[in-house]
Amino acid sequence: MKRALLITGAFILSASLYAVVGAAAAKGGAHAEIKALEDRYVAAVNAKDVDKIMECYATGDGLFVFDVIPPRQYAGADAYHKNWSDLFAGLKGPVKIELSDLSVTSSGNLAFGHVIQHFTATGNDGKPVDFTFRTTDVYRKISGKWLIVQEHNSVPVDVATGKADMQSKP
Amino acid sequence: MRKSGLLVGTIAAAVFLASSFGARAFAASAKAQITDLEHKCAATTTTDELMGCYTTSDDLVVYDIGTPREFDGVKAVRGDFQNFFDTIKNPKVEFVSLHVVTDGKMGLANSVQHFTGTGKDGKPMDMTFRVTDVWQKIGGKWKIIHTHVSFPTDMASGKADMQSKM
Repeated sequence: MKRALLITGAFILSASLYAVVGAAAAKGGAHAEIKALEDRYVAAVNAKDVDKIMECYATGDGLFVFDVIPPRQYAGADAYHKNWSDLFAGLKGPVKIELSDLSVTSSGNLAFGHVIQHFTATGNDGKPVDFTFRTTDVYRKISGKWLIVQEHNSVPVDVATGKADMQSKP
Repeated sequence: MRKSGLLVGTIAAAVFLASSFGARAFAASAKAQITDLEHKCAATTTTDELMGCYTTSDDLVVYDIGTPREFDGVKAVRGDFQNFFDTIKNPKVEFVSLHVVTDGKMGLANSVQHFTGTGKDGKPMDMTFRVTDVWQKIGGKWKIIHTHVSFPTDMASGKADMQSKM
């Protein structure tokens, strides 16, 4: 009986140690993995590769987006894929996206981040495109991989005039 | 040895079962709690009440509907909310949609909200916006650690669609 107690005690101790150490390691790992995901997103946008961009997002109905532009919401990955394709169809030459102030908070297999994105390109009419917007991303670890499951992009608006600040000045 | 093995096995199985069933029930009740709080916080009419929905940590960042692009920290967010309640009388919010995802420790709520009120000039206000709230269980209570509110905007004209039409 004494031995059984000892074994049980050792089991519980090691299980709780494993949980504590494991959780801390998972948190550090989660943040590094989400940062890597955002790096892949930037590379894919700069390459104007819509399929690669969409690899950063959950597939099918697993994705929900409030984008900068209308309509008010995109339900599903197909709708968002089309949105990216439409964006690039209106631009010529290289595009550049830069992220700043990325902050990530995680809890197990769920995480969220907020970040400022600066986008520059040239329109088909030759006019420069330059805007800065705010992004909130919700990430979920699905089959061992972090993916964006919800996204909210926007520019702040002067409610009195309805005019947006396309540079999202601080 | 056999008896102790059995005991360890039983404990391990019990711990596993309890955590698995517990986690599911935990997440379900968390979803109900966050849904309830989303409605309660949207119905607040004073800065203090609304700030009670938020974390007291200065990690708080709010991307609000108006300029500037972000309010960093509790003091800045309080100032933004105070300005809102000072400017708008009889604010009322109804939820057009609300989706909550949670694991019991963190919760994400995205919604479309229809807002009406009266401006300082006495003019009626009527708008519909998108809201993302991030909730975290802090000291046993759900608190918002990040909010993002916006209108969709036409990039060519720079004009916001303040009704967030479909």
